[in-house]
Amino acid sequence: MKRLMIAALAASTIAVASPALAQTVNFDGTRAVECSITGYNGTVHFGTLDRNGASSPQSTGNVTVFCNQPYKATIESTNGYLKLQTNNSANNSNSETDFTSHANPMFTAGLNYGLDIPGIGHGLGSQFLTASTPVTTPTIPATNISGSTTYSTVANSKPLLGGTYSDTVTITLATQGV
Amino acid sequence: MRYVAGLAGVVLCVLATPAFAADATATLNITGKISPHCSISLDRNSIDATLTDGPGQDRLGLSVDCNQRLTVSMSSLHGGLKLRTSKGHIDSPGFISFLPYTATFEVAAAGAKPVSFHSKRMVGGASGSIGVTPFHAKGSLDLSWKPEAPLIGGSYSDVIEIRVSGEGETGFPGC
Repeated sequence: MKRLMIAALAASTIAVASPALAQTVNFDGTRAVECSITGYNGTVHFGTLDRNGASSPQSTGNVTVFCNQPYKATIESTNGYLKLQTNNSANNSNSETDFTSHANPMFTAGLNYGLDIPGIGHGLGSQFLTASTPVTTPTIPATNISGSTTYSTVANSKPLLGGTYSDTVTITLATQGV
Repeated sequence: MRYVAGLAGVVLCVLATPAFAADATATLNITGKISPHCSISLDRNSIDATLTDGPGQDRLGLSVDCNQRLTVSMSSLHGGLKLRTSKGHIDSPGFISFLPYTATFEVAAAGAKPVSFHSKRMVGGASGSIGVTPFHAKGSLDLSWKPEAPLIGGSYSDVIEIRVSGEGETGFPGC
């Protein structure tokens, strides 16, 4: 009888789960937010334009857009078009949409241009830009892309006044959070 | 004569006593019990890693004490580091918002084997034995990761539970 009791005791001990102790670790990590466009700064030379402003599309060097959160791009043009550099305001275009030279109605003093920027958009152009008025894109997914930026002129129906034409386009990227 | 007979009877009785004791051997079983015991203590209860788009690792020191061969069970809440977001799904092709990792539990004891699991396997809990009984031993939880693509910027989190226990060998050999 005594042996039976001891055996029963041993069996019950085996069946009892071993004590366990648990610890919890909160594992957190942070990936810094990065959003930049590099290789974009510089000057685009269209070279010699033909009479009405046609030119060969110009590609700049390697532009990299790296943005690890969804973002919006804001594009701002100083002039809203390629504007004749002149000290005589009478030579200027009638407006941003009517490039006819005020003092030279058979000629134009402005020129639209198009631009394709990797990670920002294709088919952008000065025709969508008003001078010093930022245009913001819809939210763009996080992007890691490299490529060249392409600029092209949009020829006018009238010839251009001789001279130099210029504009400045500024691009700003802003992350939208997650 | 009656006296002599009585004396002989006493002598017989004394002589008979050893024979009686040999037939009535009593066995005394003595048992003892040392309660199974396993415990773990972490140097800290949080890891805050700085993530990059490249491989990384972090280490958490720990102490264990066990009077049985130690089995460790590890479970992960998300199965990896998950982006904290209020926007549900982040649709950004070429980027990832979930970072799996490998967790390795290691004890500095002679003959101890590291126990390693991929975080995805830890969702329902995964366990393994280090193969030895660690007595007041130091150890570590090593976490390593290698993103397969750039990470969405932001905060990531997971919760890991580490549970230690004996392998169930209770201290009653022979019973």
